[in-house]
Amino acid sequence: MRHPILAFPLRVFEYHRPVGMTVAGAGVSVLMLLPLAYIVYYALSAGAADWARIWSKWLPVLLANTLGLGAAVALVTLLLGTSLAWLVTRYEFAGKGIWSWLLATPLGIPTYIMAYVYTEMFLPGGWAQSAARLLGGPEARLPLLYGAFPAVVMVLSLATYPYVYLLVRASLVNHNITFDEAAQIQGVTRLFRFLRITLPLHRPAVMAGLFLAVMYVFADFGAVSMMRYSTFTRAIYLELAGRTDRVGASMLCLVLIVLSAVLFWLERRNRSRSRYYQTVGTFRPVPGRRCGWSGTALIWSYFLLVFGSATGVVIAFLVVKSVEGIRAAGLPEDLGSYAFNSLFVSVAAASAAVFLIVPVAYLATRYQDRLYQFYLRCAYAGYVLPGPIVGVGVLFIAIHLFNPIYGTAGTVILAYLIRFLPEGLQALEASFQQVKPHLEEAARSLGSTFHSALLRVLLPMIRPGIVTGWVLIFVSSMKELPATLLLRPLGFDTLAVRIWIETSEEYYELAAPAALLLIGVTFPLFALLLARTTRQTLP
Amino acid sequence: MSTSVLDINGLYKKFDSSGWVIEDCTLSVQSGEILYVLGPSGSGKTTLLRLICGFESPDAGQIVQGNRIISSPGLVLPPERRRIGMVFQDYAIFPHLTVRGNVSFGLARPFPERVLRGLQAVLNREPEREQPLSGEQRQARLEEMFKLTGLQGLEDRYPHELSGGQQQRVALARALALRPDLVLLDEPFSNLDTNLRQRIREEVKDVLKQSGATSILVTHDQEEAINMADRIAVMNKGRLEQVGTADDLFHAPRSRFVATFIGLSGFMRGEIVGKRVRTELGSFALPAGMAVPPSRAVDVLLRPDHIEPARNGKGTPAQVVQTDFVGVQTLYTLALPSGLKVQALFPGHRHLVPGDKTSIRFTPPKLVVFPVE
Repeated sequence: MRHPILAFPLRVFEYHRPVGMTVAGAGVSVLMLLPLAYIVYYALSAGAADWARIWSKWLPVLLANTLGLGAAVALVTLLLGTSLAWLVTRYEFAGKGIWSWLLATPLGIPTYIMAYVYTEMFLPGGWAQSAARLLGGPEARLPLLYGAFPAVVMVLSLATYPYVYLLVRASLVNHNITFDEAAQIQGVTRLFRFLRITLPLHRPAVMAGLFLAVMYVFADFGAVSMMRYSTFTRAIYLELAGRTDRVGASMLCLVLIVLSAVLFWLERRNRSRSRYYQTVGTFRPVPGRRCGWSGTALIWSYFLLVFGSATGVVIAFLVVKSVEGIRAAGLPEDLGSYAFNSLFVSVAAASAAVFLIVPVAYLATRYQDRLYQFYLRCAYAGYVLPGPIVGVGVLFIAIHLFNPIYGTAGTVILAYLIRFLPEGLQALEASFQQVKPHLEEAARSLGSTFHSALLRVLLPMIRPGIVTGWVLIFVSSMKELPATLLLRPLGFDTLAVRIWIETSEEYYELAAPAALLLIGVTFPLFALLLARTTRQTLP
Repeated sequence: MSTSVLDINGLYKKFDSSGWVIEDCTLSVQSGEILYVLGPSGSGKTTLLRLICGFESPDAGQIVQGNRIISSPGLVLPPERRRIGMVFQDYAIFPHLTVRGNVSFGLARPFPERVLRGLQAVLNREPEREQPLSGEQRQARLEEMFKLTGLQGLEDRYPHELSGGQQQRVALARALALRPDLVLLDEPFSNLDTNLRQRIREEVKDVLKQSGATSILVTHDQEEAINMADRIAVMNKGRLEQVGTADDLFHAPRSRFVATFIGLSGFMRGEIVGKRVRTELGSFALPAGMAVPPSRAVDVLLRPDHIEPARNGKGTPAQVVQTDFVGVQTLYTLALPSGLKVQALFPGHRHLVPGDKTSIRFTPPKLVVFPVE
């Protein structure tokens, strides 16, 4: 018998890492870790004298202020977010659909604009002062909001309660009534079903929402600065602005990074525990309770109060002040060029980020490989880097490592990229996970190469995720303030920067048109994303 | 032994104007039995279970447990005050609790709940659903349940760490832990792999019998019902067509639906002449005591097992159309001279192929006829 002859050289199919993507992923990891590395290096190079100065000047106050603010905002958003979510999911009333959307809209308004509007309203002659005189007589006067803890808590809570609201609502909508029935048949009454079933099942969602709100508070720079309340972010900015060496700023950065990292780690732990809390089998939703007209009126007035003091009053204020200002002095000059600057850096950052995200997300979801999981973790490091910190980090990179971009808009784009890459990554990772690897394997079995399978099968399927990621990064970049303030080249003002300059020079009415324009550009995009997530979570 | 645990009298239920989901349902469940409610999907089986649990209220009729009415129109004892356990179709195991937490869910009540329930029992002037157990008693009960359902060693696992069969045992242990008067199981095996189903069915049957529980199971799988049930209630379009043992349903179906739903069946036209029915396969005596149907033309029920090959060609000639091998027997589809096709089960060693001619005899133990529709 003759041996068969190999007609062509057989190549053993073996697992190998795709070279191009692996290199790209490594690049992303380095990019994300560099600012962090610089900050840690500078902070650790500080001597005992530096630490003593920072301690006596800042740390006790900052820690108390930041942690206190975080705790207070957590409490208020807990009350607001869960009560709103409960009402929207467990009751049937007229206008439920539109309200469930309206209540999430404060997320689309930059917190510094909300802070600016509230500060202005409480200035002498502002709306709040006029209202007080109308109600309490000519002598009535409300305090100014500068440095007032309750006012800062209120503004930040109104800006961040939607995180809790959205996550808890999604969780409650997916509540399977079979669990309640199973408890009922075990002899458990209504109150205790709530305590023993509903509460533990939805606690992870509540916690996740609270973590997001508190992370936001830690990272917020604009609102606290405008209300002249010192947290870490404001102190970092002041420290950079007032001194020539950057050691002090990087030390404060390090403390804030540690705080954020602890929070981030807690959140991840919470999420990994809750992964299995999903319902299986046949899903039956909880039927909503019908409301009569009195119940509907009660719910409407509560919703109106929350929505009115968050989104409603801000939009109304900006529209009125813009119209007044334009009537008096015409359209502010250069508004167009500020808007162009904002659009330019944001589009550049979002587009570049999407390109960088795809390989990282692809590798992490398609391969069980430690290296790629490490890439993913590096890319998510941006989550613990609030705006001022990224600003400081990029400043170091521009000075010491890559001088050509120093003093150009390139630094701003780089900062946005690092700061918002994790947001886009999260959107893309999710859509990669939804596409089963079988589809690519089917394409390979039909003769496609690795790359053509990617282009012809995977990319078309993840397009919605790419769009979502791009829009998320774009919207966030448009609103970004602290890093832009630190890094922008001379004369390069964005809308956000303009609002900051006008308000810090107390030309409050001049800030209104820029703020209105900023919201006008970002809000429709944000509403689009919101409508998409609403459709996904509401059956 | 045969005291009734639950009596359902003339129960009606509808959800909207589209008609009755449960219509004139009367059923009595005997202590210790495994009763199956069998019917196609959409026949109202699950609604009947939910009525028994107290999750739905009837539009007419009543449900009596022991000596008290637990459901009647407008008056429904809440599920938590009934002594009824339930295994849900998707098990509904609490994902945030371990196996131990799930099984002891109804036994181990947090302190404030215990106090409130005691108070409630006094206010409602009824004994508590179950006597509060001491810690040791509870522990003993739990161990007993784990042993009964074979969950030892899995007590501290979370539901997502369990296989489908194990999850089902948890659901069963949880339902039985409270020693309910009655356990309801809604399509208990539909979420399991086919090859697991047989084994787990036997296990569940053993557990139910050992625990002495009275149980109602719901399914659309006639083979499962025939294997497991002491009695079967066949349900169709909200009505109970017939309640009886598998043997009753097979040999003495009271309606065409039951005849066609249980086992393989076919019909053959016949004509009543005096006390006999004349058919293509011969003339047969009407069963004694059976009222002669008003119509002269009737349909005679044919079971494949009741058609035999005729010896020395004395039967009705038939031609083989199709053969299907079913284990030790072969199912033949045969055409009679009139063109009527009948199915017959012959022992597997008779090798006939399509086109072959043979002759057959119809030998029913008891003739079943229905008026022509």
